[in-house]
Amino acid sequence: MTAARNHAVGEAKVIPIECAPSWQAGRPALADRLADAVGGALAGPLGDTATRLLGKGWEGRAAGGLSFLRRRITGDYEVDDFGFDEELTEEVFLSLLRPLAEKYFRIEVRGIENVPAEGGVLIVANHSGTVPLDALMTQVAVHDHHPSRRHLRMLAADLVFVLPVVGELARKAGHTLACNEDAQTLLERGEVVGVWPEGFKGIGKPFADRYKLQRFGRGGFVASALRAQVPIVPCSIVGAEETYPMIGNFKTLARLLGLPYLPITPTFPWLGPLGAVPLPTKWTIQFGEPIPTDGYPKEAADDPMLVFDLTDQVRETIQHTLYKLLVQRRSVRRQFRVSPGSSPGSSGGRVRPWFSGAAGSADGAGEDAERSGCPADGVPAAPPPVSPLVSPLTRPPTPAGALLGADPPVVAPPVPPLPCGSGVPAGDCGRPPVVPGWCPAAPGDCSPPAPVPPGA
Amino acid sequence: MGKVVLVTGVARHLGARFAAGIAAAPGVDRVVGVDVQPPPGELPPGVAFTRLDLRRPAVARVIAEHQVDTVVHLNVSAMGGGGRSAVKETNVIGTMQLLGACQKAPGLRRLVVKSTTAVYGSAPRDPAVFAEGMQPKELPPGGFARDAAEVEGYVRGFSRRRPDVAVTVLRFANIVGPAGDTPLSAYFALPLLPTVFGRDPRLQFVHEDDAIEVLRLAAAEPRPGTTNTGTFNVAGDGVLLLSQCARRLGRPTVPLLRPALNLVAGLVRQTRLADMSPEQIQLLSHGRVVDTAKLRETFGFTPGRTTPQAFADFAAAQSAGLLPPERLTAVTDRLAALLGPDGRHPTTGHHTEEPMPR
Repeated sequence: MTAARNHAVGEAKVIPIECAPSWQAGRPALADRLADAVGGALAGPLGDTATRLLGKGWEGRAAGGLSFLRRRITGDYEVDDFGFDEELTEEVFLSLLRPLAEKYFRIEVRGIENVPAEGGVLIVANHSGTVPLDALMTQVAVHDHHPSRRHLRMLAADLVFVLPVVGELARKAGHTLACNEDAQTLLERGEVVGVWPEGFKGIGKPFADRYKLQRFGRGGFVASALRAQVPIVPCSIVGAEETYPMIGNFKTLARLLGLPYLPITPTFPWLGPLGAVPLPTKWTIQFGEPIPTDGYPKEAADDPMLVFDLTDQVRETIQHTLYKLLVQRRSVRRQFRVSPGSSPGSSGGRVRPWFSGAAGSADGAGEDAERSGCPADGVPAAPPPVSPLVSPLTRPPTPAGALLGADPPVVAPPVPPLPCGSGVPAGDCGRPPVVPGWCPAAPGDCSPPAPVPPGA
Repeated sequence: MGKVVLVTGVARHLGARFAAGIAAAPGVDRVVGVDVQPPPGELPPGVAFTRLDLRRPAVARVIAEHQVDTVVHLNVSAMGGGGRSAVKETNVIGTMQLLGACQKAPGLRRLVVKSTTAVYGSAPRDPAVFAEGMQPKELPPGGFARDAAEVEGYVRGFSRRRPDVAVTVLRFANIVGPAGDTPLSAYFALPLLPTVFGRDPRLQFVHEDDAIEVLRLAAAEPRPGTTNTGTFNVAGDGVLLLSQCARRLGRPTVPLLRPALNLVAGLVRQTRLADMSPEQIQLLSHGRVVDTAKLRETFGFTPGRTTPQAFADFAAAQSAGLLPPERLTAVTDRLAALLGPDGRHPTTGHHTEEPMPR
């Protein structure tokens, strides 16, 4: 130990601190002695312990951390006009969110090449999940998966900026108020702007309406993209809907608190703070083909018909992609189906009933069908048993046709052949197909079953 | 024949500096400075000081007597003696009297009015960056910002009635300099900075040298290819957060909930340490950033100092805070040095890892 201390003293002598005249001139402060003590300890036996505990290269990380700390405590960092603190976002916010994205939700990102390497782009996505985790996860996905490590600048609801702490963090993470001025300024500066045009209607919709896109605002995002002449990238997020299945809403209390909704989920508020833990669903974020807007003149932003048309185009692209992804999904907690008829995992594959929804129950049923030996070529199997626990959640969804206006029904085209009972309408019955994800009893029987009366 | 410039508010720091500067400018015959109280220091010989209260119609006589052709109205200010109502009267009634006198002055060619970016208010539901054409969601409820908004309204009315007069309204961000006397510089002089809990507002500054240069350009004939009439935001490039400002000054912040902060602000006002008005608390909650593209492109002026540079100049003139940045960096530098050069431990040899792995 004495050797270590001698070493430390020797070290301390040779350190120049020219940059701190006040330090030299002032009293030998506590911090000075502290630094000596820490340094001495680390130079001695503690250093080896630290290497063992923290892994090799901890000194480098510590030095990096110190220089980060140095910049932070002296305010020597830059923020842009919107208050975006790039360094803080990269080093702190994204580092905190990354485990959630990679380990907890196991996000699979597809089509990131559709986000251009430079220049402005508007990413439009579906909103879901009661808590805007989907927006934060998209930010992580864009930053981590894009080769240029671009930062997503989100347009957030004004509630975010009214709330203290949340508003401050949102500004530092690069988000701004969802208004035309800010959107256009960011797009013209060549940023990646993210918008969730469904707003509270989308994020706060009941669980029964999952994956049904709500109205896309008033198309203001399209007008901003047209003015800035940047492409629109539709983005479909699957998995966020089931993180907090909203089965009820404290409407009166929400109104009293000035909130758009106050969710009741299977776990919240029953389990208290524990109920605020999101369910570990498996997510997929798919970036679609960019929709160019530079073919239109700038004045096109003032043409309401064009704006509505483009809005519908974006909305339908996202809805179709959602259906496609849902059909491919095998369960809310697991990987997408890779090859048709692949056997489900050995154990733990069953989805808990309360947690599975239209999609989930379909997959569960699909597994049932698979387990019961239904071959992949679509031989009718026995109808899966409808669990009474599932039934309140799996009321028959509206047909896709009703959702998408007079459009032809969506029958996920590029999906590999699927085993029976997986929810894809067989198409030979002539009846309107149901939303993929809802499981008909057998191929050919595309009509939804009679709703189970509540309380049955 | 040269120009005769009337400058209001010369008893203040900015007015005195501007009057002295323009008196030395080529082509300017005479500068008449007016204010309700005599300037604290000597005005340069080129400036004739006339003591008058803008709230009275006496200014019309001064304009007629000196055949003024350019009026630079700097007497719209947040601070002043006699309490809030007197300040408001000077700002609003003073401007009305001045504009009335200007309307009756046939020789008047140019009017420059100093306004403030506070007219945009400071609210969470407003766009992050204000351009000149934007209207705030709601008018400022009161205080200096309301005064400035009303003053701008009267100036607009004047420019409709006298289309032959070139009118320039300059909306300044917070003006800082080594010797500023603005409410915000008084705030930053506090040993502990009370802040709003959960808020880190974005602030913008403009250096007083730049402010004076902009005023000078606005009072002169426009240079070729530029227009100096209209409304312009004036601010240094870039943004500083309040937390950054506090750290650069070395002053610890005390985050307070809004009601507690209102109490503290009342106390600070009572003890005359600083003027923490409600709209300043609003600024400290939500901040304000303006777009200066029009100033750079149409007016043809880019502030010489960015917001951080202007603030650094201001900070250098302030007394050291309780947590001087140098002392803090000395600790981290020392620790970093103990880790060895480029993060290599002196005893455990070398490694090849990056300094900041993800």
